[in-house]
Amino acid sequence: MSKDRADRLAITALGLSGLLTGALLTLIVGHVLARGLPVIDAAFLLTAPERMGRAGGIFPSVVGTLAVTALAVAIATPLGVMTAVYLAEYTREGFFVRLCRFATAALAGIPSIIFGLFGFVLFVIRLGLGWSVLSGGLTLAIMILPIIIRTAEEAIRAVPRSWREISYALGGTRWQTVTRVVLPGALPGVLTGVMLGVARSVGETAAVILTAGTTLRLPRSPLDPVRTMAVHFFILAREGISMDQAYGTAAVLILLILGVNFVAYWLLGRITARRG
Amino acid sequence: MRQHRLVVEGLSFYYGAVRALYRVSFKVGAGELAVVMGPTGSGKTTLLRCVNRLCDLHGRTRREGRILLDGRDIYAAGTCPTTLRRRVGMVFAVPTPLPLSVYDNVAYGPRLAGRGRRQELDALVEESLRAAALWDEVAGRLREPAFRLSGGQQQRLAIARVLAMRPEVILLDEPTSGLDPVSTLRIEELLRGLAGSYTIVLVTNNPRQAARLGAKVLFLYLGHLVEQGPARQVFSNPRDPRTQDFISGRVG
Amino acid sequence: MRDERPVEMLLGLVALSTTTALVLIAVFIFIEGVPVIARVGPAQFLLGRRWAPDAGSFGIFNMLAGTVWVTVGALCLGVPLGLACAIFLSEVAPRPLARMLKPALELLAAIPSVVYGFMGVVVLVPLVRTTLGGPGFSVLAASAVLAVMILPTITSITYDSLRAVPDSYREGSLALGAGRWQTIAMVLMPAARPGILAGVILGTGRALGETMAVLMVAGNALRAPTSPLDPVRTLTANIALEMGYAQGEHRQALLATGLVLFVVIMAANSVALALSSRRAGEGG
Repeated sequence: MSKDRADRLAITALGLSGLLTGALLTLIVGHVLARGLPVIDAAFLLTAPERMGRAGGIFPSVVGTLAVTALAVAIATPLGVMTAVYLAEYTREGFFVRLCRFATAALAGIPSIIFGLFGFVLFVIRLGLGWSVLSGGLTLAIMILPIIIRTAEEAIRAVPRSWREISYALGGTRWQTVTRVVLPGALPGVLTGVMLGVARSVGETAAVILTAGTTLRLPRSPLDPVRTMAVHFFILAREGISMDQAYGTAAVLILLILGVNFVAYWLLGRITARRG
Repeated sequence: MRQHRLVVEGLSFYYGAVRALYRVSFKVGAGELAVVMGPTGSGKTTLLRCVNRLCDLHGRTRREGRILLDGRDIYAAGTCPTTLRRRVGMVFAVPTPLPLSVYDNVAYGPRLAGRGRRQELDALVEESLRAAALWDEVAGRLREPAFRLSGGQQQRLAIARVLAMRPEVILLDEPTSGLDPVSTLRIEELLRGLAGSYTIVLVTNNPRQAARLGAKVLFLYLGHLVEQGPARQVFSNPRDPRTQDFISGRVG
Repeated sequence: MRDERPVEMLLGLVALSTTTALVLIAVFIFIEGVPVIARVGPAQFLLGRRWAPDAGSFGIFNMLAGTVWVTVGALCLGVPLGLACAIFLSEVAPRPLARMLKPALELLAAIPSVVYGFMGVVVLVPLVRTTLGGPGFSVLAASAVLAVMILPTITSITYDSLRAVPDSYREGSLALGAGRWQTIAMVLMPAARPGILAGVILGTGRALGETMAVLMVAGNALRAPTSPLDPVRTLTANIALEMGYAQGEHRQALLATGLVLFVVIMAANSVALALSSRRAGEGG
């Protein structure tokens, strides 16, 4: 076989694999939306489910998802941003930084079921928080911490050195420089990380089912158990309770995650645009 | 005897194993405009960065010798670099506005120093912009992002930003290297006007700019201070052949 | 000057949050998991074929085998596709197309695993049942779903390491008369090998640890599979299936299962991290 023919064959195969990936995304999203969108309306989002979810809406799950996610982000964002600031601005490469980086990367690679087990043992059982918004949020916070640290650190490092030098040259302390120049400059990137954390929390099932529970009631306090949308969808589909309701829930889930991701990449695009 | 505001004594500087300055010594009087000229890579920028301790920000560097400001060693134990930098302003080679409005750029330094009262700031910003010969051009656009200004305006904004600190010494690192001839002349005019009220040390790789501006001219070559003296003498009758080569354009 | 040391110390303390979390996870999983392994005996726990919590028999071999089957299957399907995709994006696709496909890939990573599992149930499982026979819920279905799920991991890391190969390599090879495919196969892939390996290992970790999607399509039978069409139960699926009602020693046995998973994945990821940091070191 001639070199050119081998070349053309290989290139075609590569192209097909690329297109296959694109097609997969389109098919999955398209299928879920096609079956799910007709189910969604205001009532679906804002009323309680009836008969274990066979009919009615998903309101408690919407609230549960938002509560757990908000708690996770509220805990992980300050921790993550402060860690990123420390790694990028306050310290030079050394044992401590290598340790932090290893731990962050290792944490990112741990499967969600392990986070679920850990959250179950520590928060649900040992700390006596039970299956609750609090247990779920704390568990998810640990899970999304690496995402937030990594994107925030990248964004902080992308802030031009010259801005920092100007601030120092005008008599700025390190903290002043970080809070007035570096963090505002890194804000879009930091928000991207937060958005990715939101998407991850919203879609998470294994870790949440073990820590937040599966109760289909509207939570009244952070110590109440909830069933997030992802868990609700899982239960509807797995137990064959109602395919229509399952598709509807999945569609809400996907729309939410796609929306959050678009916002994240739009923010990221704004940084690149500004840097030229 | 005239009082010397800035005294550099036997200053050497190393980046790791690389030596950038060799026992550099010179004095600058209060209100004097000194020009340090030399080809690229001769250590001019390093010298300036030592004077307001920006070189502290680099890892693995070493410094020998002393730098005195008003007779006090700026590297003495207990001297705070932040306070020092409020007295010694720095204008960088590339005009870089902070990602803030024109007003906030000028007010940045005073705010860091805790001078945040509205009226006082307004007056200070206007005064600094006037002193930097920029007020007439930006008076109506103080709230606009500073990056919308032209390159020459941005560099005068950088000067205004430093003036707002009411510094004693102003350091300028090739402030016109990225500018067109007209903007360059405006900046030079501005600096001549500021000399007298401020002690100015300007670094340039352009001997003609040194000749146009300098009362006192220093020639730095590969980290060695080869020659220093009044501009007239350095340019008409240089003692060192390397100075002769540089000002006649054979080096650099 | 205000003293900045308290701020610095606070930030340094916070920076230890991920390390603390990692240590806490390890400690609690060990504390809860080790007693059962100690009582049953490590060999009996890992190699025992009987999992009967009510009778106090805890042998995880069948589920271990299930996890291996499903993961190997996912790698067989996912690695070639992931590599091809990365090469296509980095070396072949016109820039505008690559710029469209890269975010698509990242969205693929953002889709919740339950949605993948669900798609497996409604599309893949019936497909396997009607075309290949068997119950449909099978190693094959689980592997295929996982292959898609690890695609973004493998592709994006391989893509990054291909991009990190200097252009001079490409130009040098093409200048010597090599074709595009020869250049890719003989110059670029070897140069990017540590990164590609890291990507594959991280993908493996992801496949080993995935729970909900696998649980939905694998069939969860408590037997070691003998064919790709057999239903299986993985370690992760077992935890998720039984954790809800497990008590006492049963619960501890599930945590011990988590411990096995944790150790394997930490080991794999450490290798991957060492590989990718070596690559960064070489790049200077």
